[in-house]
Amino acid sequence: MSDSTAAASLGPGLVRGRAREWLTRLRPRHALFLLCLVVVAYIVVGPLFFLTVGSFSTDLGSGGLGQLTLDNYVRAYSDGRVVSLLMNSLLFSGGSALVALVVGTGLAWITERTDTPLRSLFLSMSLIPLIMPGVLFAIGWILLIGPRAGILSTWFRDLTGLSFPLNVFSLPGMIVVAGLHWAPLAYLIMSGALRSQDPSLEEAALMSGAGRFTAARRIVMPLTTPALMSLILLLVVRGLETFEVPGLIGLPAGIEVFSSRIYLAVSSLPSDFGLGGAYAISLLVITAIGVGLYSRLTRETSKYATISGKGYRPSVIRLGRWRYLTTAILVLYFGCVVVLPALAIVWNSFLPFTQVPSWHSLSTLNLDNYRSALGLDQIRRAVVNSVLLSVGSASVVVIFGSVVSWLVVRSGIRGRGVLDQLAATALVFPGVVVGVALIWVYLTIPVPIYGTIWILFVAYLTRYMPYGIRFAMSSQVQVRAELEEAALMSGASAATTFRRVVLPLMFPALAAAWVYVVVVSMSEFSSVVFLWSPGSEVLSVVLFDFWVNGESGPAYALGSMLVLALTVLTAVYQRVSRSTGIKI
Amino acid sequence: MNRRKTTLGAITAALTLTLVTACGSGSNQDDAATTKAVADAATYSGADRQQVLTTKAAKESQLSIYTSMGLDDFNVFIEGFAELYPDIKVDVYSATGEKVVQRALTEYQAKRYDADVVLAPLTDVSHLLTAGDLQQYTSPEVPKGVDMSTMGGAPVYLNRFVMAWNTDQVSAADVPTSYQDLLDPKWQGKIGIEAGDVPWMATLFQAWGDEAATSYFEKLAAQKPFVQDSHTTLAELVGSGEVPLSPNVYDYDAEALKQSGAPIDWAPLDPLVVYPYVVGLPTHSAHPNASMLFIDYLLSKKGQEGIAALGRTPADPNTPPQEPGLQDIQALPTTSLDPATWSKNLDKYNQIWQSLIRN
Repeated sequence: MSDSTAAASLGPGLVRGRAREWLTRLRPRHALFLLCLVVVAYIVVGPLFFLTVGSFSTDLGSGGLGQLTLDNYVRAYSDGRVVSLLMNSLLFSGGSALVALVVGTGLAWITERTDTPLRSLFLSMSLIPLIMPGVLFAIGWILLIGPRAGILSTWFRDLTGLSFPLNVFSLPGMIVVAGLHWAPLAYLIMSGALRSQDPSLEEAALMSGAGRFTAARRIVMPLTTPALMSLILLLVVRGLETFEVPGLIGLPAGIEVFSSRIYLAVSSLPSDFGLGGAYAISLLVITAIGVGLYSRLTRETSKYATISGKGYRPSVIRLGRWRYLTTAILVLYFGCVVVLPALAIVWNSFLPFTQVPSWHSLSTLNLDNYRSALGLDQIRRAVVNSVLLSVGSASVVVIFGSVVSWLVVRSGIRGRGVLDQLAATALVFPGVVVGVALIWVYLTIPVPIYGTIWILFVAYLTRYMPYGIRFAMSSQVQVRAELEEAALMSGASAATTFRRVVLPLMFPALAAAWVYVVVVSMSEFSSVVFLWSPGSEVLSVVLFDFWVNGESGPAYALGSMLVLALTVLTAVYQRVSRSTGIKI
Repeated sequence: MNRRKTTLGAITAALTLTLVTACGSGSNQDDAATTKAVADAATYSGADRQQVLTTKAAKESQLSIYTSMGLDDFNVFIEGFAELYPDIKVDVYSATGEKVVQRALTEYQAKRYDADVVLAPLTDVSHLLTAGDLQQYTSPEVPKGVDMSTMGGAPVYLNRFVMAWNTDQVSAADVPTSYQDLLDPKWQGKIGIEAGDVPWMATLFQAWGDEAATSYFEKLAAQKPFVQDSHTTLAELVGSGEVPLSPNVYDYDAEALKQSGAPIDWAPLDPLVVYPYVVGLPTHSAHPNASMLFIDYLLSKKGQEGIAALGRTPADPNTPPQEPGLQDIQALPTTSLDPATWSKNLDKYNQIWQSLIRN
């Protein structure tokens, strides 16, 4: 007789007794685990529910849930283009991840481990590329290397008579633009991982006669495996989910990926939520496989624990003559990722219409775009709302992420994998799906946040919570359990240990995560466009509003001001962090 | 232990309350009262109409508008309306026509009634009409002869699709003067098409008949057009030269770029497809009297002059557009999509578009 039937036959008294027994065995960490599970479930299950039901339903929109059907999947996969869709998606996400990974890791190694000149300047500017919203970045590159009227393309053609080797409206163009846009993210994660690594292992390799590059390849890279794996996972998943480059560059060129197909289905009128759901569930399956592989690879976490009880400082390699090359690489990177696209935007912000720089175009420069951009009431509200939402959601995401990652990595609670998997699910919700699904959720359940700024807050949490958890987890596995154990042995409570030992050790990674979420959520667009209401405008919405309504000039102006403001903020942040010793 | 019990109790209570609220759906009586109030405001035509509306609107004191017009442009009308009725606070949700209507439709399915007025392209608004979410209204400002029953509301302004080309990339002698000219092999890869222009295609299907139109669009698709979201962006790409020419540009976009000195020019094609923007009154508008005052204002001389001042073509034939280029084509015969045909054949048109243009 199993426990449950026994309990049922013996009546409620025993059940209560057992429950009490069970409760007394509970520790605070179990309560914490339960709380986190509820929060994650709340955030993830709503959209997931509507996606899943929608994908198996005849017509979610007609009031009820519709009838059970496989028609959406049949439509999604009987389409003759599904093979090219899958190929494009994998090539695009894999390719852009590779570009970002190679560029970001190379730069991280240069700035963290070599004596390359200008590297401290570079370090202080390394956040700037992250703050350029994806929409602006893609537009910037269209303005630069559009095949007919791009600034670089035109100059190249005038100089050489040949067409520019890279057409932005092609799959390679999409891969390069997206890869460059994510390189700063790769750089941020990899430089954090390199910085917190015990160099004695690398030194041992060098002492044993290994060359520097052998040491880098055989020691440094393997040791950064958890960071590297979660980075690859992040990049590939972002590549699958992102809409900016596939939407702005891919769609006009007729190159479709999953996310743009989902966008087309969901944002068509009437919205084809079923078809979008079928594609989104397919994406989820692909990602689940990726996340599964990732957890297998990082299961033996102790292997990667490199923050130990020993004190150390990472060593710096003297490059000699090679350092001119590495400096050139830094400058080239910075030019491609920040200066050129930003200049293209800023240049056009002073023009009445898009032009390649020329003597004639100089005479048409004016400030009209800035006047229109600043003349709007909504802008002021949008600035306040964007700052509140970004800072608020980043703080919650980071604190919550560090707790969840501790529970998953260290607590040993049974079922912790569920928490991990559930949280990772949200990674692959395309923004547009989050947007539409949240409308459904909050029009259905009686939590009165529809039409307020809080629904945007939930959208931000849904979009960025998995990132907070990933960042925290990759740094958590690097911290050896011995440090926590020492604190516990010395009589500290679990909470004190977490606060005084775990958090400070994870601080650099958490700070990086916080800054990342602030900056990225500042330009969150695809989910917000469905959810904002009068009074809860955010910057990206106003930016896009200008863009689609024939005001691309003011959009450039607003974009330029946004990038300038965020650059100043980053500089202030760097200044503060230098004087307080807090570094990211 | 006590505290734990209290917490559990609180959670149970909260859950129960939630479920009860969820099950107790809004009463039908309220619903009927709202729709009656909306119908009253929409159809009242007594001599004291203005006075009645103004008095009731003052009590409503606010108005929420869903519009496909950009915030910057739409502000003109908010300010104009505030001059007439300073006590009515106006909120605006602005996005593309499709998103505006999609949001209103979703809200209505969930019995949430935030939109008081919807201003969007006819082809988008017609979805609200089909769903039964629009109240027919009368207004002394609607020009004579306008049949609002099939449109769901009165047209406010008109966009016309014209052929636009970049004057640096296309010589004057080469400019296509008909839809057929676009099929010339020399334009392969050079034609821009707007990504959501199913209504434009549908209008040509209506004008040419299914067979001829299907054959035309198959050939047009073989020209490998560049498919760009947003008419305005498309116009700007023509202005910058990234897209040499497009038959899908709005007349006022092309004219505005030309006025600003961009190397762009444009000409009407035959048939000249026109695209009306319609203002609709949702059946459950929470502020129907203020809504009617706003609709009156948009259609009035003042509102229509505001449209003209934005460089667009007012729907009222008595208020001419301001731009010289728009005035020039004002007298040309236009072709517009029959809303009934549109709603009936929506799936068919969408499929043709998906398989030929957007792939």
